[in-house]
Amino acid sequence: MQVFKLFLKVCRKHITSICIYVGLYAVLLSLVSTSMQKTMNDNFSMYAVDIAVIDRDHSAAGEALTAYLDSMHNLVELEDDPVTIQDYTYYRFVRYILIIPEGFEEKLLAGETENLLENVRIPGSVRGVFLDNQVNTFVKQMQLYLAGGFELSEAADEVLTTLAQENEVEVLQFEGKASSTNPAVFYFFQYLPYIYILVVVCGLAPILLIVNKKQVMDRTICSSLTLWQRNFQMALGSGVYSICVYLVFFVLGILMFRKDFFCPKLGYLMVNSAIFLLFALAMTYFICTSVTLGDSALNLVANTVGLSMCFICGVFVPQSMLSADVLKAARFLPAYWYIKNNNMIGGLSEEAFSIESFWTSAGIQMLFVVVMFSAALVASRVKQQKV
Amino acid sequence: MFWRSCKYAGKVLLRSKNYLFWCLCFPLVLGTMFHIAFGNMGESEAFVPIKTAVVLEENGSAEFKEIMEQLSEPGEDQFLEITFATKEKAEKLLLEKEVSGILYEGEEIRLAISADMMEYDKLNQSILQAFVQEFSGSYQAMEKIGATHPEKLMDALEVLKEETQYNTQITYADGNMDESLSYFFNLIAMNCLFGCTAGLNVAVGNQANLSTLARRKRISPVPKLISTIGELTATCFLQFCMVCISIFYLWGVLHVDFGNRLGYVLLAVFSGSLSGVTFGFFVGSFGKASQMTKAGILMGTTMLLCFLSGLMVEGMRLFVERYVPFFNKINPAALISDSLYALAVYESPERYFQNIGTLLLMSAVFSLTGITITRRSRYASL
Repeated sequence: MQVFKLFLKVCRKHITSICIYVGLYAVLLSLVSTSMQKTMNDNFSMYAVDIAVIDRDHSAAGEALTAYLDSMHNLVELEDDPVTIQDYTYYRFVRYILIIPEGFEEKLLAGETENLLENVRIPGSVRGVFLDNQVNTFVKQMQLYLAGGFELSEAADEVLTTLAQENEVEVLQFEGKASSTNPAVFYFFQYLPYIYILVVVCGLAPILLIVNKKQVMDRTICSSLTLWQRNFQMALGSGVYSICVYLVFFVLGILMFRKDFFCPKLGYLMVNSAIFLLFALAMTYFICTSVTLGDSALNLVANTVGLSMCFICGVFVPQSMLSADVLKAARFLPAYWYIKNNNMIGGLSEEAFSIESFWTSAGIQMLFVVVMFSAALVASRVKQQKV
Repeated sequence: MFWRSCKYAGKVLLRSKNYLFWCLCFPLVLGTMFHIAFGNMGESEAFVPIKTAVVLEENGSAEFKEIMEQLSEPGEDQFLEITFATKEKAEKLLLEKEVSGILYEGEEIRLAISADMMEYDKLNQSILQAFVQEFSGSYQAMEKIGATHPEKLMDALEVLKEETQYNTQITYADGNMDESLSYFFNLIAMNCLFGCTAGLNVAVGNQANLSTLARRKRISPVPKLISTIGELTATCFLQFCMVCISIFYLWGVLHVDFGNRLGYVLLAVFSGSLSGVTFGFFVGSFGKASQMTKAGILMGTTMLLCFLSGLMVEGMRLFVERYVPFFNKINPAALISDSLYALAVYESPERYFQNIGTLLLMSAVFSLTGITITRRSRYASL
């Protein structure tokens, strides 16, 4: 097993750069999981939006409206200054700013409710519509109680009590206990394609390039070792490397999410990621057999291919945010099918989970693997003939 | 001699593949990726009528059905996209994720949602819940008024029927509110600051203890000040040209909206390039560390500055503004991106000129300090 041993020796020399990639990914994951760490449960809670209320009236009615919004959303303190309001809206630091103008209470009591309030938001945004509805509901109910003979304070109390009652929302369970999974687990798997490409291409390619060097190759071939045995040992080395990468991230997942990691559909997630790892392996073989590159050029290729594929296929930006044309083009890349499966398993897309759909996407990824390995073989044969 | 220094510095830069990749190709590739990824961002946050299944009671009120139909009438104000269905059919639609929720008619309207959609469809589910809340709230209000002040019931009914617009949307600026623009502004800032590596080359190329090229230069009868200024001028000019290519690519090919004041945009780019190059020159002039070490420090610092101005995380600049406002006043990446933002969003150029002034002042400080540190160096032994 001389070739295999050589493979491991070279691998040991590159261990630092491999560890850096794994470390970077662990940091990225901890950042993502900090923001996503919440266990979905069977009870429905309302979507909380980051909002600000600028109360220029300082009246009891204004305070009641602020308290009502505060009970459901995240209230951000904001200076009453046009530039600050504009900047906070543009950068989506707050999604909705409600301005309670002076004389709000007086007008409400007098029944002059036309254009009673002002708001600043991104035009046509869905969160704007959501908040508008809630503000309108509050004012309408206040108006109802006031017209119905209630005093202002009584009306405010009634409205706050009524609206504070969480209406019973029936949550239907269709797929066992999938809903009790920590969504951060799915985000963990979502970013794997990028890191697999980096770790496998930048980690394995330099090793393969060294083992495939003309002098090393000639020395091996002139020995009693057959070409088949040599290739087998090389494949074994690559396989061991890939399995190690796979296991490292599996353990990282367990360390980060503990028992949350063992979600009901973990098996599907693991199969999906294993197939993509095979693709990264095939891509590495193709790069190594078709072109001769240095370490920095390999890094450049891995980053450019990895970044481009991940941007287009929905790894960094959700597929739902990509245009239809981009998604059509992305179908010709394996990461698209990987993310499609991941979203479907995690309930992060409109597509309901189905085993047929999962295996279709997994099968298409396998086809990419086969095509890439075949291309690597062809490239290797062409290169040998040239020599 | 000044022009000769300019010419050679330009030639060296144009023949550096590394410089051309990071200052020309990389921003173009990243810009294209941003365009692909964020091009649809505006549409994704726009309101789309919510797909809802409605299960009517057998002897239900015609009024409820009418309200549902009104809410789903196609047009600008369409709120729901209704499918009337039986309970089984509605649940099947929910299972297949064809609808966001099911509304059941009854004494009080009930809402059912799917547990499998709670992660990505929560906003629509919440809007439906708020809608149900509005319905049941009004129902409860009428009940209470009927019980406590029955004589006022008709007045309340009048209010209930009224359709009033309570809430008006206002704006404080007429500019483009597309959030994806901030990524492109930060990309330009990063592009400008990448000029620091070229500035570093100028500094190292004139310090005989750091490069062999500088040794050759220092024994020639060329005044150091003139050759340094000549090289800095050429580097700044080339860096400005590189960023201009990025700007024209983003503006002309990808149709990124930089506003209609192109002259101001170019001035911002020039000031940014100047600050990037002089920043590199400034760092390069300090200490005896090797070029590689200084380049590492510069790239790390540049990426950190870009991160803090919002290249990787949206709204980061505002986050810094909230907790360490002074840092945004001295972070060149934030100053460049904020200049472009101010141009795109505000009519008044006051904020823009404040940023440009700071950038030019910083560039002057960087270059003067760099020149002062490196002037009149004498080497006992090399």
